[in-house]
Amino acid sequence: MITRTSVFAIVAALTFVAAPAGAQDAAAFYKGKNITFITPGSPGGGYDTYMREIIPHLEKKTGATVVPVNEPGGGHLLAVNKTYSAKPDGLTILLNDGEASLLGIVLDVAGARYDLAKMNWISRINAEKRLILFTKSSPYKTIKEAAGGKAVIKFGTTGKTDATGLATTMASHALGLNTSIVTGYKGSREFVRAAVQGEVNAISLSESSALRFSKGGRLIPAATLAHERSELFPKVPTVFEQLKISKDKAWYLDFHESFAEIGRSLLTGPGVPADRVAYLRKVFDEILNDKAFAAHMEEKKRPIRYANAATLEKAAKAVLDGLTPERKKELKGIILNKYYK
Amino acid sequence: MDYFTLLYDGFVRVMRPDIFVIMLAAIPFGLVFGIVPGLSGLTALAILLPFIYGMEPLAGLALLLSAHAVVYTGGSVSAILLGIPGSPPNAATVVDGYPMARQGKGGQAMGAALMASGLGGVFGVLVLVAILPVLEPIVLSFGSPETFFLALMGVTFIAVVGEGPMQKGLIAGALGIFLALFGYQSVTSVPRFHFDTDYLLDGFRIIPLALGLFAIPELIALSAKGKSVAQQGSVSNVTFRHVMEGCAAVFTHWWLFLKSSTIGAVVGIVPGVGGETSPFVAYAAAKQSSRTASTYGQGNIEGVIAPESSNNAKEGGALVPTLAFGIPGSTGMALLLGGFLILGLEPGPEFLKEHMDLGVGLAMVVAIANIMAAAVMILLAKYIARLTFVRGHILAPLLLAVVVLGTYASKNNEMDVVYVFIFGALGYLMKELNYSRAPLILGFVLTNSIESYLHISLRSFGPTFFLRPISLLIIALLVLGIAWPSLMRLGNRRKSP
Repeated sequence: MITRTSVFAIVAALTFVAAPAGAQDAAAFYKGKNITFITPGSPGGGYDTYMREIIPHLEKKTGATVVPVNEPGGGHLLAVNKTYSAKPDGLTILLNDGEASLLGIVLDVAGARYDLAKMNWISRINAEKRLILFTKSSPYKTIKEAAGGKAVIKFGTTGKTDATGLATTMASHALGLNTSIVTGYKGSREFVRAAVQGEVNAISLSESSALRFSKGGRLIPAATLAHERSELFPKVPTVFEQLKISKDKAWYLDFHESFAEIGRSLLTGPGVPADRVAYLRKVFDEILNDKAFAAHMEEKKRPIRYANAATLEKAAKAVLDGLTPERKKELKGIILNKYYK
Repeated sequence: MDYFTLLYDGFVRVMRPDIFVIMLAAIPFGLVFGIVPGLSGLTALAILLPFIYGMEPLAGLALLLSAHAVVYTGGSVSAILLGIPGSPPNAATVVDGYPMARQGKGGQAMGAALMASGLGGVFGVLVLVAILPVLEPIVLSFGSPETFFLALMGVTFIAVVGEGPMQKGLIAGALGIFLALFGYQSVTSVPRFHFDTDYLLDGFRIIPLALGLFAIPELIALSAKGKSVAQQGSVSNVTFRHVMEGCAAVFTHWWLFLKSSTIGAVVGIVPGVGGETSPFVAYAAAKQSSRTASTYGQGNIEGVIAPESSNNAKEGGALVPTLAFGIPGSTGMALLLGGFLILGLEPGPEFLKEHMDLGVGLAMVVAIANIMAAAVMILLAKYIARLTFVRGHILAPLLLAVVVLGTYASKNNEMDVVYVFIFGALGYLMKELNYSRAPLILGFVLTNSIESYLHISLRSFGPTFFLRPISLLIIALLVLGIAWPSLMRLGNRRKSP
């Protein structure tokens, strides 16, 4: 007689046998194949460095040849489009700019031809907290003074729909800053130059960039845009420590933090067989949790801040699922228009 | 530390056997990437970047810099001999260099281009080392308004660059500006005219544009006529003496050389203008002030010396903002910056305080690479110039294969090859209708800077953004540049009875 217990036992046994078989099949599949590793970064930049440092380890673990592809342009969306439309065989991996790819969907950016919900998260390589920094020419020295102050703060950013633009608009809206944003700088280095020259008097930077550029006292870190302090700036309080922020205003800061949580993450396109996705997750988990590799990257000033696929899925859901049409419309107004008049 | 001690220390630092071997390996690599159309300095750097992982900083950067510094030296060769710019900035050299080759003066043109390139590169380095100790205030005095006006100054040269009537030059420049408006626009974060295609999301690329405009029409002409590039003279006419005559022309035109190299170094120093502009600006400035302006576009050696000296001088200048702020002064420097970061170095004000010796060492690498590349090419010029005597029906298919492969290799994108032919059709039409193609390239490379920095200047400083001392100085130079030909004519009229 077949009991319920025996059915469970059989299913469990089959699962046990099948899972390693799937993993073995996937491992065998990758041996000798070519993997296309796409990044939206230009050669020599942060994304490119992470990709090229990972490649030898990826080749060693999979037995595949990994071909690096730099696909900058289109506000980092071209790389996502290319991965999304790639053959669903698991041989195309994207080192993604999480903030740009999510914003592409939130703002319905023209040219964003992908559905992140259908793509497969592999793991996160790095994510950083953001800080607000003031220059010496800024009308304010602290975030407390700035919140509710009447003098205009000019923030420099690269564009409207990237990480710098998002952090600035969300912080300005939540904290009630009298902000005017100057877009068009070619990268954080250029708006740091502009800040030092007095063209703008505030910027938002990732914690590692903030550490690099605040040396010599040219830029003054005013606040960390997160619930917890940055490890690199333990003495700089968070916005939540410095100001009393209402729940509805805190939503915008939390929304921004969910974006930042995605960071530089790995993805494959839709329709990739589950066993190959699982295999890639396992391979990257091993590489990114290897202590020697992490120490090497720390030395290169490109630290690893690993998170698994489940955490990334949750963070992406937190951004995308809570968006009602009204909220989306409101966000578009804040991110694309409010501070550009 | 005085200027000469700085130079000497940098020289000693570079003259290590390992660095020397690295430079010897990198220079031919850079030259080949310059000569082969489509394979630009950017491609060379992108290929070399992965090799520097784990290298000692000076060695790694010497590998990148020596290859990159000489790419335009190589590029001048294809521009002169084949009418195809080896890399986009060499397009300005085509205007007078190619007619010289067609007149059987390829040897002289190459000699002039190579000597101007080599010495221009050294000039750029001397400027760089001179201002290394005071880099920061110099770079900081150029903000977005100054960058905008410098780019605008470049646009005013559109009508002057190239051969043919001025009105047609303006139309070609306007077309270049129009083509540059396609794709993602960083100020508004809106892609323009992308017709819902991925390729146009990033706008048109400079390599297919430059190669299509210049290479395809020449290849059609070569195939159709079946004759060689050189229409006069014979192979035996190209001698080392001819090459040396070209080299000597740089010294007889020493003022032009100094002026053009200074333009190159200054354009390189200002981040954002785009170093690609400098040869066009130098060409236009030379033509505007020349007594033989009417022969420009028909094989005037001044039209070769000006862009080539400026082209290599700009790389020394472009190192200035790269080292001082980590802001690349040219597209090549953006990749070089990646090299610094890979090697664990962080260019910026603090970097120069701690690593001034490395900064000077790198400047020396650029200088030595320029001299070595020019010397090698001058020795080989006599043989390379013989290409212009190969019959068209043999040369054209080989060059077409190189152009197609070079274009594809620049981004591994097959659509680039399609666009080479689309722009080739445009280039053919322009050539047939006597529209100069160089102004189109100038308009194309400047548009993005003008648009972005005008926006930034207006947002940051309001409508009075031009009321800054250096901006006013540039405006004065700009007005003077426009009025110069009229002033010259007025002066000449008064002199004549």
